[in-house]
Amino acid sequence: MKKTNGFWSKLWDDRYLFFALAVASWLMTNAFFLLASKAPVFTLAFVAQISLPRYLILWAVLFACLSLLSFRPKRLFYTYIPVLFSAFFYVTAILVKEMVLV
Amino acid sequence: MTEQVNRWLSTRRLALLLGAAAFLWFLTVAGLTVLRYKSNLSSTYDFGIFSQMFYYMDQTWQPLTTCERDGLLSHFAVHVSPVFYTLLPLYKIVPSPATLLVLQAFLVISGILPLCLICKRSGLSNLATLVWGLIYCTYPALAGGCFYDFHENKFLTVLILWTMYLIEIKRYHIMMIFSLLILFVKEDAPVYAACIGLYLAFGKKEYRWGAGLFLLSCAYFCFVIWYLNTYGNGAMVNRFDNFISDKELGLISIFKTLLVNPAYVLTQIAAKDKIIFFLQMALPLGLLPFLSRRWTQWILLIPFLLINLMSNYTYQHSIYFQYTYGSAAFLFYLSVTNYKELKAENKSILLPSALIGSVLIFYTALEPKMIYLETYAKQRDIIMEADRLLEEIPQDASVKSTTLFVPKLSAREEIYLISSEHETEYVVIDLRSGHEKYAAEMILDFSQAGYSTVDKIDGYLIIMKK
Repeated sequence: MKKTNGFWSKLWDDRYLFFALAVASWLMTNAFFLLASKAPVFTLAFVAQISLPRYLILWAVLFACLSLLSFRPKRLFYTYIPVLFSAFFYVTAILVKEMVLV
Repeated sequence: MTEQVNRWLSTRRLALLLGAAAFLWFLTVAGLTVLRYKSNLSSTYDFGIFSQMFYYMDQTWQPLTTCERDGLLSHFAVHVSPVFYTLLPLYKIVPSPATLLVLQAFLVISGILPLCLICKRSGLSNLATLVWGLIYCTYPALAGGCFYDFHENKFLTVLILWTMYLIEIKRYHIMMIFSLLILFVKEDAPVYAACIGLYLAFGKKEYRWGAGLFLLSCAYFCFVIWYLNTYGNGAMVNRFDNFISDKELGLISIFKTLLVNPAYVLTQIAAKDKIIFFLQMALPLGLLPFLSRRWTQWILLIPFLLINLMSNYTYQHSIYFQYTYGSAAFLFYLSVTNYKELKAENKSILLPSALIGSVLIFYTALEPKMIYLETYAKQRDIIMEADRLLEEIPQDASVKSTTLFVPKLSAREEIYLISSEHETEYVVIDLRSGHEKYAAEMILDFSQAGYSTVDKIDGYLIIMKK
């Protein structure tokens, strides 16, 4: 219990990293759904076929994974690295979907 | 040079110069918009509706109209805007549609006062305050929207700027009163108040006041949407159809789209006409609203993004309509607060650029509006003759009219658009070229329906009676 409190308080202390991880995991979630979906990206049909509960669960899981990696005693990431990586991943997913699969 | 001007520009001289600029703006905008109405160029949507609504408010205290949805109903069944009642005492003194246009011009330009107070509070010099005041006077969107006649959104600029000033001087009780007035502007106005709440909480670290205002705005928004859906004609969510993937979820569906498909959101924002609109809004401010590294400043850009850039409803990203007034207030506040944090050398480049941009865009956007002066001067006699004929229609008679004569005929219990299903005693048809394509067919139809001509001005209008 004490360890959990320490983890969350550390997370809260480093709010910029917390925010960056939320954005990074959000972009990653979108990239995963993008690759898994058959609907064209730039449409509302793409939005309609996504189940919001599943989306939120995947986002939470990815956020938890990234947090664990970032808040180990020896920190793996600088604040901007997960965001840059996931943004790159998301853009690549769009390109793959729009240019290769369609 | 700047030092010399600053020494000469005492606070009294500053007030005189800005007062003169504001008065000139007021005379020009109020004059031209009234001439547009006098020349029978204001349409039913929306000026005819508001003219008749104020007539009813004056007579019965109720915001009723017959021309809005072809039948007697409260305007609040379409848009919830109790703020209109603040103008009623003044309307009662001079009950005329022109009064509304004059009051509106006064409301919009009066925003210069809180803006200059924000400048002074931010420690800007008198010269910088003068330039910001002049930018306000020449800001294209503030004047441009006044020419689509009267609208409740015009309250937003002055109310938001006063609210932001009250935040700056930490008068939170009065700030809450102004925030309430913002909420009373329209059902979508809680967006502005909620963003002020978030800014107050995160930007100013006033967590209690900020959270209170944010929650109040959310609660009021839920209440008015429920009211419109239960007792009114339903909230107009169709303006965000391009973000609603699931009709059953309604507005909540917008948040789902934002969350799960940011790429799609970008494609909706980066359209050609929206980029032009963005430049028309941002260049007159030297792009200053966007020159901040503090993320809390960006909270106040949410309404600009949400109301103006996201919707595909054409009028919401045009400087000639009413949807820019709330966002413009935030853009001005952000410009001033970002400006004070700039380095001196950047200040000396950006502020003159903003003024030049504002004047140039103001001139190109508003110069065509001088046509209302020209039209009235050329057609004064015929307009007065038309007014005389329209005044001969008894005030208790029901009338159907083509769109551009509805505002002049609005001081009556029953006025409908020409396409109405309602039987009326009189019909007024516009005969001016370029206005009513099917005027001849309409006259024929009404003649066959038992109407006969009572008055006519060739090439201008015809009045028929059953």
